Amino acid sequence: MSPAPAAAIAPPAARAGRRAPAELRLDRVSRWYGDVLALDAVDLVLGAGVTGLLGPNGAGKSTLIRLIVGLASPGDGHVLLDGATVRNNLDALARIGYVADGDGLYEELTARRFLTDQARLRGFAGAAAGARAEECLVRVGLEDAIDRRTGGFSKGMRQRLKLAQALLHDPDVLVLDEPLTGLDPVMRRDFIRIVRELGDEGVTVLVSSHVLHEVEAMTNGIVLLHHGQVLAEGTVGDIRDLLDKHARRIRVLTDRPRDLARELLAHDDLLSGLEMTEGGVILETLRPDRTCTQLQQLAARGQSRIFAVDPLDEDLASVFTYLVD
Amino acid sequence: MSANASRRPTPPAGWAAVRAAAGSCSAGALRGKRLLGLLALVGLPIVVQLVLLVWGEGRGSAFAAFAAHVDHHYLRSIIPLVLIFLGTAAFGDEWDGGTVNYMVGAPIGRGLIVIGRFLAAVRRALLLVLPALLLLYVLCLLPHEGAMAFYLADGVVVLAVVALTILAYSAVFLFLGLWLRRSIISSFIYVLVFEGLIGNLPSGFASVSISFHARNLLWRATDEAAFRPELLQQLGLEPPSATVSLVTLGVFVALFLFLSARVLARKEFTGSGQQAESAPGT
Repeated sequence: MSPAPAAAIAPPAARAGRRAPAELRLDRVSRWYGDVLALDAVDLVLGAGVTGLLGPNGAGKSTLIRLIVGLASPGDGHVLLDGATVRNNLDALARIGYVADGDGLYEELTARRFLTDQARLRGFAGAAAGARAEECLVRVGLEDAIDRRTGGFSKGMRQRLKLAQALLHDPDVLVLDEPLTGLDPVMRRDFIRIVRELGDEGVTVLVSSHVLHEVEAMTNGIVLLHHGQVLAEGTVGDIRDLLDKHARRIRVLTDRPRDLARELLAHDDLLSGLEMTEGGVILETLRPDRTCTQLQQLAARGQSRIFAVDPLDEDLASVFTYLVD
Repeated sequence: MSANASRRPTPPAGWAAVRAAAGSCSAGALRGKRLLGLLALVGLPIVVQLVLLVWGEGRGSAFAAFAAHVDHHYLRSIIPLVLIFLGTAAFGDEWDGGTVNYMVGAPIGRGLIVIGRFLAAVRRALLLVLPALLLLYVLCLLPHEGAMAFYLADGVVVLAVVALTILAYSAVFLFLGLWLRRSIISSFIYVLVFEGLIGNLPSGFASVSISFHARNLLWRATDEAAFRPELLQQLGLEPPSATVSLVTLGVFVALFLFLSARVLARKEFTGSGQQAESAPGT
């Protein structure tokens, strides 16, 4: 599949946000490491709201993120924030918050001292720096650890502190590289809530992750990256529409799976595969709507009792697997 | 400019940015084993002087003894070694600790970041070295009645030259820490080979050695025999004037800070705390 055309991703919630949206545009961005092409002519436009950046290891996610936050320069193409180059542009950097995938913190500093120093780097002066630091620590739920040294922080606390650091200057663009790694379920829930809130406020948020269902919990807008190319972008629904050529899997729970299978196979234009399981069948169909209609008719005729019909591949993992295949 | 800008503070500029950059660096540079090692290094001449006091041996005049310590121990060895660690740590610790993103992601000019980190390294070096020198001054001159007051002006000059030397070495090692991945090894090679060997030769090479100009300044300013570049004079070569040495050390500082800012602006951060040579992080 060729790279998807650039299109602004702005979930409905974001459109109701309170701030002027920032537009992050990648224009034919490529990046090499020696002979290795890490990013290949990536075109992408991100608007307000949360966008998930998905791809397997080596897809180029972290490289893309480092170009977006100005830590590296593209070998070719442009990374633009509202039309201005990001790299070495102080005005652009002042609008970007970044949570890196690494674990680095100043271990000997307390959370308060670390964030106060960072606030000063962002322009908060005097007591305002400390006040802003405390405000951000409270927002990420670290109020009980404000005066603890970060060297003793758990992985989850570190991620929260890094998020607080990224929020200090109220950025228009927030870039999160694998932010959920190492968080316990409660922390994940809170982290996801904060990210969604930021998206709703109109912040342009880009989240990379390999934990697909968690990305889905944060956003409906995704970009799929593979071998340095944008494989697809849009909402999960948009991407599902791209999958018409791929069979979708439906699990049907029934009291008579063999009879059901026989009936369905009689309509051999519907199914591309069928698997018997305990208490039911798993169907592979190119035309899920017609298959479901057929199931309704079979149930209405009383030939089989159908207890449940579950689509198995509506999650992002399946979407990505289909597209890559 | 975004509409949200009114809710965001103006990025720091000028001195405020320099102060913020200086304050944001790792305090670990002066903690733990590293601090103990540096304290031991800086305090070694004090121990030597205490032993000499106990054994009752002197080394020329009271001030000459102090001058000899400064020349032989601090300018030639201790200050370069201390600055290898403090200078390279100004940026090197950021690579090692994976904290470089916080610094280079800040909306501060790269030159101001470099100056901030440079001043932080200088401050730490001065906090280590100057108290040791003051104590050494007291130990050397206290046994001689009235000597401390008599040589006070010379003592201040010595401290000023030491401070200038610290500035120059800080700039060099900060640059090496920013430019090279194995900066401590490279810095040792620089100190041992260039400053220690080539820089001591009576040739054109010496004129670009920090320690040579530092020692020349001491000699010119105090006229102490302990600092006299005898080898140079025996070879019929005229040592440079104090002005030349002063300007040369100033050029060292300016040149290496400029190069550091240039390197930082062009540096690629392609992995967690890694530099451009590393493989893609994804």
